[in-house]
Amino acid sequence: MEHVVVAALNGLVVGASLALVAAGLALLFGVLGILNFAQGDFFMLGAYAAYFAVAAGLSFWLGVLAAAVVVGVVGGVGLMLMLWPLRDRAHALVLLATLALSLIIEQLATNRFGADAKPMAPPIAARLAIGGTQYPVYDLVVVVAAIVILAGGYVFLRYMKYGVWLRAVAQNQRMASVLGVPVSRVYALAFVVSLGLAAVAGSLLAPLTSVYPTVGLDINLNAFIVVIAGGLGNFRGAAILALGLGVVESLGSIVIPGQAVQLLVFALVILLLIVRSRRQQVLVRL
Amino acid sequence: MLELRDLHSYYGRSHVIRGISLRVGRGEGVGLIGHNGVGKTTTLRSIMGMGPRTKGQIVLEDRELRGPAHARARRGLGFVPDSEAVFPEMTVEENIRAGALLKERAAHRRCLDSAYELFPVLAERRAQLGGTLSGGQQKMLSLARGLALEPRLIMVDEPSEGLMPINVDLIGTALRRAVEQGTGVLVVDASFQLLKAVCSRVYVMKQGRITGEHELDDFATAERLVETYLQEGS
Repeated sequence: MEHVVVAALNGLVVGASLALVAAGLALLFGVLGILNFAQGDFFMLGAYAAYFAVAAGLSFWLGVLAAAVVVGVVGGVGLMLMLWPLRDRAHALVLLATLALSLIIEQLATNRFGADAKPMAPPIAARLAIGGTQYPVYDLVVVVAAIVILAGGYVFLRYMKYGVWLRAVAQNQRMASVLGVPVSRVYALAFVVSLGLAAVAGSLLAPLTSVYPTVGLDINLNAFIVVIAGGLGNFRGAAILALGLGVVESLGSIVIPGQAVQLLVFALVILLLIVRSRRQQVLVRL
Repeated sequence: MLELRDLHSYYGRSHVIRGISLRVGRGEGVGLIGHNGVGKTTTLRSIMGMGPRTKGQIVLEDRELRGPAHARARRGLGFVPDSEAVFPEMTVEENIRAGALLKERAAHRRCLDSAYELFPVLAERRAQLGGTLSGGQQKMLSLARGLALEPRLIMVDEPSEGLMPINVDLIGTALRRAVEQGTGVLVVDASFQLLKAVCSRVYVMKQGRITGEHELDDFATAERLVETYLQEGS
């Protein structure tokens, strides 16, 4: 029983960080129809931002905030400027552009910071006794922080002015514009929030994964799977599915050894896609 | 209030609107009529800045209208398109709020109340998703939202299309009330019942040009109006 609880908690940690990255991807797709292959690289930049903030003597939590603001704003505006000329062009060009950006960021990070993994101590060293296991409190903080951020995102999308406008633009950009919604500002916000979420996830997970240039690759692949299975453009669906898959994968690893547990996850995703394809489904549900 | 001076519109190389001039005064209802495909909807879209390349002048309250649709909306221009005018995955209340949020906080409740007062069925369905409303209710929702924003001038494209006569009456009454409150209304519609309720003048369009301008009081019946625009517009 103790193994199950610990595995479920581990799954929630993985799922929570995945949910932040996937929710950002879903947001960007919902509002702009953009699938950002470089999302994992902004996760990595968030991890580096937190690492260097701590190395400079700042508190870890200020590092997380700095990661969100710097990567979100600078990266978001930069990515928007890069993709803006392609907005009316074929989707394949946008995909290729973000893929190229991903390779460039990864190579620049390797050149600048080195390919080695930089360990980072968790900001909370305390442990919680679960049966005979001493479970790190910081892992639970990551889960709570991610859930609070995602719940905040949900409230923002539902009740705040720019949140309502993000949904409006995602559902009917033409009509939103006719009403007077500042569409280009909403686009910029979607970029900033999307990348900010990836950066927060990267910085929160840095003490658990260490920091290195390809740290975002795996999470990027899983985030794409979650976003597609949860319904492209579906912020809530992506977040919930990410948490669920994290737990399933972790619990599955108790009985299915090694990488084979991924088969279970993929089988569930395929099943979900089959079920969803039989129902009439709207594409965008922010 | 609104004045078009020699407006031309182009979709690519296609010259769709060929130099039209018209005006709509404050508190005046004006109709734009003609056969399908003569450029009525393109005229409204051009005024709103939605797509076609234009040449000529569009003036609202003595200042030229330029820029994208949202900038024109903020100058007090409203537009209710003929289709896909609601946010399908947002509730009726959220649909209205999406527009009301452009105003100061104190006005948000007033926008909702005015929309619900105009069409009480929307209040009954305030928690229903916009995309699940009937066609008529979607038209009421988009019109109510457009009017709740209190634009200086509102353009409405085919508001009566596909509606039962009782709903046409409701929409006509709502637009009439807006005119009485000083809003300029430019309406594209084929319903004599609606035009009679809202407009004092109509322009007839043919192949991208205005071919006639008439006082609506000159027409006692729908047949007389149709006869005129068949002569001028075909």
